[in-house]
Amino acid sequence: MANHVISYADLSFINNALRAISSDVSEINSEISLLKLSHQSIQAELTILASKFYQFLKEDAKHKALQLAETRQGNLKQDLHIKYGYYAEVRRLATGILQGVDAGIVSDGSIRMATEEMMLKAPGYWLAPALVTIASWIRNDKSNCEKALKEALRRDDYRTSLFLMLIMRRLKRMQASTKWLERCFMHQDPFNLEREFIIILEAVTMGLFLPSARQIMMSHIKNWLEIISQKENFIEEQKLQWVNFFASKAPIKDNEYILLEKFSTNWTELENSLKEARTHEVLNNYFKDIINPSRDFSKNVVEQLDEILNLLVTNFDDEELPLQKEVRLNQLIIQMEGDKAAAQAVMDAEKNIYKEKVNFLQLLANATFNPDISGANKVTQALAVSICLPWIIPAYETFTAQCRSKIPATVELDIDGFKATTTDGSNQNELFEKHNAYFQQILLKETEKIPQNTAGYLMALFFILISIFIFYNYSSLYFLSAVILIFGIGIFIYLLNKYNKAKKAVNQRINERKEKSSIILNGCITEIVDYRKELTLEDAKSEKLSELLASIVPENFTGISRETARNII
Amino acid sequence: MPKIMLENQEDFHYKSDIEQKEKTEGTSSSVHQFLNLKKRSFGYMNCIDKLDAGNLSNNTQGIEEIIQSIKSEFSKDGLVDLPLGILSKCALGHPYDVHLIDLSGKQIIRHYKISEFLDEQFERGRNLARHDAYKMIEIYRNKIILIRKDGSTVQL
Repeated sequence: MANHVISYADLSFINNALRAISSDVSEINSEISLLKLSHQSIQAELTILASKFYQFLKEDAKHKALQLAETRQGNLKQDLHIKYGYYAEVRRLATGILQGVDAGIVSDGSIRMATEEMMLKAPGYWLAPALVTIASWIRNDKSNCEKALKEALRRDDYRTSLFLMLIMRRLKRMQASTKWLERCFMHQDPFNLEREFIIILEAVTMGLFLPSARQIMMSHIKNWLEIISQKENFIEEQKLQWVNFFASKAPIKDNEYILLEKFSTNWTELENSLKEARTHEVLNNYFKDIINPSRDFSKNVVEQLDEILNLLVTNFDDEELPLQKEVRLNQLIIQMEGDKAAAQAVMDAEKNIYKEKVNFLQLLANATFNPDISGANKVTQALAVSICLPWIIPAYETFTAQCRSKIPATVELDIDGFKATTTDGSNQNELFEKHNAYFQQILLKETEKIPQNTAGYLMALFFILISIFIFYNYSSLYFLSAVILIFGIGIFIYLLNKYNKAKKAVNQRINERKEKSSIILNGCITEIVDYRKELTLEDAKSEKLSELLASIVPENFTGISRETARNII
Repeated sequence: MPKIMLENQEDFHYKSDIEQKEKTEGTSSSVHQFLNLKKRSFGYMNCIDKLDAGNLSNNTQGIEEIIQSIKSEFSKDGLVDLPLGILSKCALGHPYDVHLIDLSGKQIIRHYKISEFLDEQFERGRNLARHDAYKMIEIYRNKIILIRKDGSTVQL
């Protein structure tokens, strides 16, 4: 009894409560799903915000790096000026004295005063006593001259020798200059050459010294090459550097093969190969430009010597190098708009050029790779190329072979799902046959996919059967039977029509796709033919360059005419 | 009119000097080997050429003769490592594109169809073997040497 009461009393209450709870729960559920939605949208917004924030941070870092680089560059330049500014004064004085003496309008006294003043102002700098040497030599003060020379040689033997060699040459004291030249050469270790050494090569190559100077140079070069060649890996390293150099010369050109870019799955390889093949022409021009003797060497020889002298006295000295390096890095950061990593990458590539001492092969490589930074001119470049030929040629052959081995044997196409392979487009007919078959297949598949309304057909059949049944059993109801029959046939015709329409639409769609893809396929094949043609043409240029390189003989290089040479000597 | 920088052409023959020195001293560093990638003899190249006649196709008959020729070519240069195989463009025409003298153990000469794959070690030289610029490709364990029509070599 008690149970009954409880169950009776509880049921409605619990039921109501449960209903209320369930409605609450569903309300909560709907709210949760709303929350979920808003959470998702917040998350999406947050992601966008975060990416924007990171971008901002990156930009900000770049901006700060740029500002810092600009400030630093200014400071460093100021530092350079403060620390080594007086060097510039001494350097200016050097050319000033030479020009003054040439013109004969400066008295010995003022030259003496000026040089001795410099000697006091620039302690430790080799050029100051060297200038005192020159000044005392001009006024025939032998004892002072010797003392100053000793001091200059003590401060920097190599540079002083180099300087005096150039001065002697400028004053046409050929014997003396050749002696100094020999001294310069004796100083050199082919594994640790001074960067300025390129100047000597330059001067000798240009024929500014006695023929015996060339003999001295060539015999030293010959010895160095022998010594260097004995060392493991040196030549291999050079070869590798050249291969990398060749690869870096790849030209940037707008893509002409628009369809292949879009529809070829191995376009990246194809594009790379073409780019590499196009490099041959760039290299051809590069080498032609170097070895072409049609350059203007009509400049006054004294001017040229002054230029070389200028290079020697104005090019920064070793102690300035670390500061110069930092200036360069900051300059690069500014150039790269604050991208430190990119600037460092360029700096790393240039690092060999900034090395204080380089080996002979590296010196030659620097002269050819980047003549402006290494301070070499075209004539030296030509000489360097001719000396390096024994490894330039195999390096080029290796580069060419590397390019050739990477040329994709086939072009892979994917046009609207139709995958095809061709080597040069010669299998055009076969491709089109496959293409047609592919779309035939697609048409079949798509047609199969059109829904067949079986229930509808059955219904139509049912109506038709009903009408027949009525017609035979209840002849009085023939009107009704006719209506039902027409209704059934109507349904049947409607369904059939609908199916046919769908089939027609599919047909049309597939045909359109087929037509489009066939136009693309045709275009692709045309582009493949053109691509292969261009690739073969560009690749063939490598043979021309090989011939050109093979035809170079070192003695062709001096870049100076016999007549000019005679005048100089 | 360019001026002759070196009166004596011999001045610049440092490369051949090195080679000469190497010959007399009998040393062979890797650097010298690089400079010493000598031209292959015509006898050796003709021997490989015979393959294109097709009479040695897919059999080992006559392979001894070819291997002997290869060995004599390499021992002449004092190079101890023989190639694993020699690939060259096949003149049998479509569908063949290259043929391979496998010296790595199987010692067999085989013509390959375009659709057929070579062993991985040989496949890397296939593109180059097909190229007209090279007569044949010697595949080594750690390098590939390409032989041009005039017998000159390129190391890859």
